[in-house]
Amino acid sequence: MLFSSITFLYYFFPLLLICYFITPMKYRNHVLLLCSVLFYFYGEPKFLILLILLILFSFIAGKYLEQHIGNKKLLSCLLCVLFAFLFFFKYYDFAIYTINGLFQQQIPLLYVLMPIGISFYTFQMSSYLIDIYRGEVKASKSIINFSLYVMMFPQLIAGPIVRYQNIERQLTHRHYCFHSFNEGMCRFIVGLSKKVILADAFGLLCEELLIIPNIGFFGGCLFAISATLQIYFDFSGYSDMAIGLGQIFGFHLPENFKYPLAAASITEFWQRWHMTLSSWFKDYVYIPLGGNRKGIRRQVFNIAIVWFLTGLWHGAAWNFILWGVLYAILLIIEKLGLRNFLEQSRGTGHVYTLCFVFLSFVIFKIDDMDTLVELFQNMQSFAWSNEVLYYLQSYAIYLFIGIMAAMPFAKKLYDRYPKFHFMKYIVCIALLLVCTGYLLDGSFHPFLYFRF
Amino acid sequence: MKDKIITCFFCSIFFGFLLINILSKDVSISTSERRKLAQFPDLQWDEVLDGETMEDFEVYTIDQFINRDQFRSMKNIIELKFFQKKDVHGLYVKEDAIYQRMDAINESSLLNITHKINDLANKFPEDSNLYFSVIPDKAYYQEVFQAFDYEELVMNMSNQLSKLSYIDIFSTLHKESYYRTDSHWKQEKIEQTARTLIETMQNSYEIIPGEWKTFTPFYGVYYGQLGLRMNADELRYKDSQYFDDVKVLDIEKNKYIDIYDEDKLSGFDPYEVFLSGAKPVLKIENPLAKNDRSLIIFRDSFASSLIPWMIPSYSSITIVDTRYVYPDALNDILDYQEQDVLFLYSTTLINQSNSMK
Repeated sequence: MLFSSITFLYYFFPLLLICYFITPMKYRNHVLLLCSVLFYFYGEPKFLILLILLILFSFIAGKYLEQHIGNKKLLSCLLCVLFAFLFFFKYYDFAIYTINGLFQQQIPLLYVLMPIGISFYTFQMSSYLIDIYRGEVKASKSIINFSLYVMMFPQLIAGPIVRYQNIERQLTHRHYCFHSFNEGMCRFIVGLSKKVILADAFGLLCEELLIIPNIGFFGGCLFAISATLQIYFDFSGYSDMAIGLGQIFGFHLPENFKYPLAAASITEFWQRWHMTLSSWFKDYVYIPLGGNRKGIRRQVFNIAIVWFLTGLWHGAAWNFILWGVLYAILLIIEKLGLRNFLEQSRGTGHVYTLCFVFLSFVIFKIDDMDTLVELFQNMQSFAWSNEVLYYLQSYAIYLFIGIMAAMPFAKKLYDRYPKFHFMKYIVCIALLLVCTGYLLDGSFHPFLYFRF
Repeated sequence: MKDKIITCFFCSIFFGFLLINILSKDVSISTSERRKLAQFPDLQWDEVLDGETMEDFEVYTIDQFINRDQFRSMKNIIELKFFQKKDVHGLYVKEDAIYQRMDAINESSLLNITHKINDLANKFPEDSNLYFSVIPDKAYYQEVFQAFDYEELVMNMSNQLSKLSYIDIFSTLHKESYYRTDSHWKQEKIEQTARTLIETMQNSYEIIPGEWKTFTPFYGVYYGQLGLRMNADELRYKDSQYFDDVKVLDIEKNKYIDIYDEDKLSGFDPYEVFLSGAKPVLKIENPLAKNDRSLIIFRDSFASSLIPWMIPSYSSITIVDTRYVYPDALNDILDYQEQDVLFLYSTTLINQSNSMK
């Protein structure tokens, strides 16, 4: 089930609101868990059992690990089990396809279907076990609360990746108030608008640009900007919806985006983009590998590993690995001294960052290498195409609004005039109705990050 | 207190639509979109496990949403007026008419259709009179988005179809020749087109008396897709006592049909009044023709309204739509003898010819 669907907005969500708020406090976790199970079952009926089994496994593993704190071998075995499932469902066919290509083999592919959200919930459960091993959290005593931690529907299938230590207290003590409910509702609707109005429009523009035979340099740039805006609004929109829904039900989920397109370096970009994923890799891969504590050579190696894995996490295809490698190279160059230079001129840094971010999201968006190569070849022409001009004119206002919304201008304006804050509720109600119109008119547009 | 009121507003929207959608009666068809609307899906366990029931339910909730057409109109107005998009779903409005944006020539589609035409043309004897013509979509006459190179298309087709003679009908049409809310041309505006085709095929164009009938309001296919409020078209067709003796045989159903099927005027697509819409093969026999010439037309839907103009000039016309019949099946139906053969397709079909068998 998508948040941006009529089924969710006008059937599941209102029914859940009724069930949740009429239920006595001590059973609200049960209601939320049951609805999360139904939510997942609706979208992925066959893999619900897998998720439940992994939850049971992690719950029991957590209790066992707590009795053997510091047992690295035990932790490794438990993590191997979790990641074995992730590998099988997400990477098996990619690995076999690569082996067949490299070594001229003909090992048959299994065409394994990937359960929705497996990357997210695997990372969440593994962070839980690692934190127990480190003594940072205590194992959960309640299977209901632990299951809710993993399965809570707002963040189950596309994040933010939540650490157990950040949510443990909220599982048993939550505060509700009308103001918080309204703020959560506004956050949810803003996220919905980002996805339905902006992200889908930029997605359509990308599709239309890709079929132009000689797109040229300017058309390629337009494609790069549109692809970046689509991915940004799609993913940040989903995160906003997840955080807003969490707030409605009394949870404070971690922020995942902080105007990343305003960054003045790639380092800063990744401190603002998909922050929960970056911090997961930093805390559980980069720092255990030694981080920057073992000399520059080891740091470069660690960055390369982390970004190879980050690329791979995003998708089982070579374009994602290439995307990760690109960021690894840029981050290494910045660590080696470029960042000092960029800090002297934020404007230069911003332009440099945007150029590489746009380039990276072209690689991210086009998972077929032939199409990617063809696009870059077509960009060698600087001639203006009438079709590109047509689309630029057609989407000019979308692009303007998209660029403004991707920067913190609106937030600064909002913070500057508190006496107009009441208008946001009117705007949100209007946006909800407009989004409803978009949903009723459009066809199926799933979230991009659902394939993770 | 203010927060409580705001909460009530939010909740009333969600609960309000929930209740209205549950309590309102399901609608079976959408006249604006010309299709049946999804109904509540049957609940079968194996389909639930497959996720099929959920997919059906998603479609159902969209199709049955209250005031769906109004929401769609609102969205399209916002895109066209606020966002100033030039088109929505590839459709744009200019001078109170809806046009479909034609993207660049689809080379693989062009190759596909010329290949299929050549295969059919090769079945006829060498001395057959083989022709082809291209019906321009109405966007040709309204310069907004000119990615589609019509001249290049005709040139490419002429090169590929070297055995066939090209008949140019572009100059016989103009933007008023087409319905404002539909892709098709108006029968009352294409008499000259019919005359040009017939005379180029070395035949004489025969005029017959008749009376014009009018059906209104006619909302074409584009109207439903865009969901905007627009003035309706008038659908006119020329009936004649001459046609009383003309027999039209539906080969597939093996029964005779009328040239004008007036029952279709109250259906999803009133344009199907012309020869009952999409049919694989029709055979028209005209005992009143002044010659014994016969014609085979390989066509798409545009020809349906054109053919009544051509009937008086031929003793028999066979109409074939290869979107609905495989060419090999025609071996038992068509008589590949020396006669006039015309391949008549619109640019819309030429650029998306994957539907042709």
